This record gives sequence, C-alpha cells and structure tokens, in this order.
Amino acid sequence: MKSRKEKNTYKLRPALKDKFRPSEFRPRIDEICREKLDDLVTFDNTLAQELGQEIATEIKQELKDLGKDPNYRFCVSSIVGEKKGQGVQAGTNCAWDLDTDSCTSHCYSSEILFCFVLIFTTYRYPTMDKE
Amino acid sequence: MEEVDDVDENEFNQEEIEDIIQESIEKVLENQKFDETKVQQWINDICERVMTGLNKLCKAYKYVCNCLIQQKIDAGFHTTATCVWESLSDGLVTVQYPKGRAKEPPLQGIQCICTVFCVKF
Repeated sequence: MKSRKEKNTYKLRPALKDKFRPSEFRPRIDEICREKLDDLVTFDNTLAQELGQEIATEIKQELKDLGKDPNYRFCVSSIVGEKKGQGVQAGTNCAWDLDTDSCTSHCYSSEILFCFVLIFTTYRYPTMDKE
Repeated sequence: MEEVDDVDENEFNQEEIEDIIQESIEKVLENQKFDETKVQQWINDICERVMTGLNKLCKAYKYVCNCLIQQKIDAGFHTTATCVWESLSDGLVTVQYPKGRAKEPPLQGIQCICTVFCVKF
C-alpha cells in the first residue's frame, strides 16, 4: 500500500504575495514629508515635535492599511531637526531574520530643516495556541 | 488567579537594556570631541557593542538599534517613534547622551540618541 505524504500546512513565513516590500513604500514617505513640511518657513520647536509625531502616525496608519500579512509588526521612527550647518550621522544595526524582516529609510531636506524617516518591519512567527 | 508582578525571564527588561546602551555609548564617546571623519566609526562601534550586549541576553526578541550623533550646536531636533506591535511583550528603549547640559563648548561637543526597538518573535 502506498503511504500518502502529508504536506506541511503550518507556515513559518509570510506568503509571497503578503510579503512586505519596503522599497515600494519609499515614494509614499517622501510625499507625506513634503505635504507636512514644504510650507514651513521657520523652525519652531513645538511645531517640529507635532509634525514629527503626525508624520510617524500617518505612515504607521498607511502601513496598516496596506493589508499585508497580519503577523507583521511595524516600527516607524521620525527625526526632525533644524539645519544650522551642524554635522549629523545616523546608523542602524539589526538582529533579525533576513528572510522575513526588512527596513527602509528616507531623508527629506528643505532649506531650514531635515526629516529622516525609518521604517522597520519584523515578522512574528505564528504560534500554535491550544484552545 | 492573581498575577505575580515579577519580571519574567523571557520578557523585555527596560533597565537592563538601558544599562547596556549607556555603557556602550560611554565607552565610545567619553572624552571625545566631534570629528566628522570619526563619526561613522563611532556609530558602528556603538551599534555593534549594543547588539553584542543584547544578544548575550538570549531572549526570544528581534532587536533594531538606531544611533544618531549630532554636533552640539544651537539647533533643535526631535525624534518620534510609533509602532504597531504587541504592547505587552514589545517595547523600545531610548538613551540620550549626555544627560542634562554638557560642559563642552558648542561645535566640539557631541549629542547622541540611541534607540533600541525590541520585538518578540
């Protein structure tokens, strides 16, 4: 008697169509930054704080609305700073799964300020909950 | 059943991670003055030390360490983070260096902000 081989139905990775591709999202980050920051003429501390929060919240909402695999976790970090000729450098190190997790970043710059947006997406492996 | 308010070994411990970041930044930036040729190397060193320290904790977490160094000048900057995650198990830790007003004059001093995102897998 031939024994049937059972196919493994338990998925540890997102399906290809549900995989998050951050490079596709980068132009949208630029659009959002331009909407919020293009009209600013002077740098105001309180306003910059609010705008940074608004940008991060809007990007987070759009990421959720993309409807990718629900096991994805997103972290959006926005940095808004005044341009006064100072030197600024940023760097990131990650310990994650190269197959499922990724990041993207975009720097928007105007005459008076710069805005750096970082997006990290990590995948939470589904657990078998015993009901 | 009442839950005991202990820090579970597998959960995310804010203070432990703050100590790791603070130690890493101090080792690299103590007594340094802003030098644009060295900044890239400082950032790599800080991120590597933080990552090594975090991986030694051996917890079921994925980590992202982001470090920003700016020259100390009369310019403001704000960092914001928003996340979609499990609020019970995931978190982020931010450390600012130096704490309070530093004694170095502008253009020589360094401002550093290091953020670590911890996401459970």
